[in-house]
Amino acid sequence: MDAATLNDLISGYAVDDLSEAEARELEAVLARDSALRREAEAVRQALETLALDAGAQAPPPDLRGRVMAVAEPPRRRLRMPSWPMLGFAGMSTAGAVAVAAVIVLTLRVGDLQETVDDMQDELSAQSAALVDIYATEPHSVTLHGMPGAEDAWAQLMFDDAGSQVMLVVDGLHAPRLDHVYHLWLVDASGNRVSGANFSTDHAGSAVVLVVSDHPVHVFHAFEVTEEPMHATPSGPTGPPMLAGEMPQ
Amino acid sequence: MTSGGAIAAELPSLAGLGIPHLRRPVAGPVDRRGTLAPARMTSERPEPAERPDAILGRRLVRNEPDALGGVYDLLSPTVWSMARRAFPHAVAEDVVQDVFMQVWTRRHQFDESRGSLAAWVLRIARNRITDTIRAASARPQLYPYEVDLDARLPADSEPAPWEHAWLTERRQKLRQAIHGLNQTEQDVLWLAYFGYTQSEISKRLDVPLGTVKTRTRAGLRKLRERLGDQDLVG
Repeated sequence: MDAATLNDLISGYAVDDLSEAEARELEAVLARDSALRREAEAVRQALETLALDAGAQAPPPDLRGRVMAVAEPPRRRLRMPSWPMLGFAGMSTAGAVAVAAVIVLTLRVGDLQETVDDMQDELSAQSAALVDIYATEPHSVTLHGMPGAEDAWAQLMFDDAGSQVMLVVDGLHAPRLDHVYHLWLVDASGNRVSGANFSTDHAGSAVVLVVSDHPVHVFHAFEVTEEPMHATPSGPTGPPMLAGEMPQ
Repeated sequence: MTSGGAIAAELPSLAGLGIPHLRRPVAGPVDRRGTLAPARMTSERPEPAERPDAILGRRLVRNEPDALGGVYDLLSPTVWSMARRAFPHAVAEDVVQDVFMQVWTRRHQFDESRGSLAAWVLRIARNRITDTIRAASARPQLYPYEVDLDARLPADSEPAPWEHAWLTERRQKLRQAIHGLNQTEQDVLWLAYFGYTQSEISKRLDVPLGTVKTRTRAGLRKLRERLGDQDLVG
C-alpha cells in the first residue's frame, strides 16, 4: 500500500467515512504496525479537538437546574409540623393535644411505616426505570409551560421500546386544594388516555412513572391538566398547563 | 455590550468543581517568640496542577455529591456552543440536557485509563448532535438543522469570563493550530466533525468529491502536525 492510499484511509478512519472493505484493509495494516496505529489515533484525536472550536457561550442559566433535577430527582421528605407559639394559658391545652397526638401516633405508626415503605418502593421503581431508559439511546419529548404556568417545564423520557416512561416536571406550582395534575397521552385521532396523576413539591418538581397499555411511540402529543383529586375524568376538564408533541 | 449584571447572571457556578483557584501561601514554622518565620525557599519545583477534569472524573465515578454539577460547570459552555452551531435554542437545550444525563447515567462506564473526562463528555456530545442531525435529515422541511459554518470563533476572540482557565488555554492553542488551515479545509473538517459524510460535504459546499477528500486529508495532516503531541482534550 502506498503512502497516499494509507493517508486516505487514515483520514477516512478519522472522519468515520470508510467502506467496510477499506476499514478491513486499514485494520489489517494497523494490526501489524503499532506506530501507525498510534498515528491514526492521533489524527482522529486531532479532529476531536475541534469541539473546542465551537466556542464557549454561556448556556441558559436555568439549564443547570434542569440537568441536576433529572440527575438527582427531588426526594419527598417527611416534615414534622412546627409547634405553634403558645402563651401560658395555652400550655395545658397543648399538653392535652400532645398526649392525644402521642396516642394517635402510636396507633398510626404502622401506617407511617407503610407510607415510608411505599415511598422507598416508588423511588426504587423510578431508579430502575431511569436505568432502563438510559440503557439504550434515550428518547425525550419536552413539554412547555402554557398560560398560567409559563415557567413550568417537563420532559417525558422513554426507552427504545417506549415501555419505560418517566415524566420529570420542574417549575409547576402545586395544584389547587383537592386537585392533582393528570398527564394525558394524545393519539393521532385526538383521543386522550390518562398516563399518570401527580402533585408537585414546594419547588414545583415531580418525577413520575408513566403507565400506559401502549408503547408511548403511538401517541402524538402530551398534555398536563389540573383535575379534581378524587374524580376519574375520561378527558381533560381544564386547559393544559404543559404541552408537547412527539417529534416525527 | 453585555452589562456586568448580565454577565454575573450567566456565570455558571464553579463551586462544584472542588478545585481551589487561589492557594493559601505556605508560611514557615512558628519560632520561639510565637511569630511566623518567613516561608522557606526551596529549589524544588512545584508539582504540576492536576487537570480539573481528572479530579471531576474520579468524583463522578465515586458518586460524590455535586460531581455532575462540577462537570456541567466545566464543560457545558463547550457542549452548549457545539449544540448551538447546529440547532435552534430549544433543541440545543434538549440536546445539552440529554448529554449531561448520559454523563450521569453512564458514569460507571467512564474509564480514566482510556482517555480524559473532557474527551469522554465531548464525544458523547458529538454523538448526540450527529445522531440528531442525521435523524432530522430525513425530514429537512420540518427540521432544517444545518451546521453553521459562519459562526466559528475568530482567531483573536477574547476568552469567555465564565470558562475555566484550563479550558480557555486549550481553546487558544487549538485556535493557533487551526489558523494555519485555509477556509475550505476548516469547513470540510468542521462538517466532518459533525458527522457529515464526504459526499454530503461535497453537496453542502458545492465542490467535487475529490476536492473534499483532498482537503480533508490536507486539513487533518496540518492539524495533526500543528497540534503535535499537545494533549488538548484527550
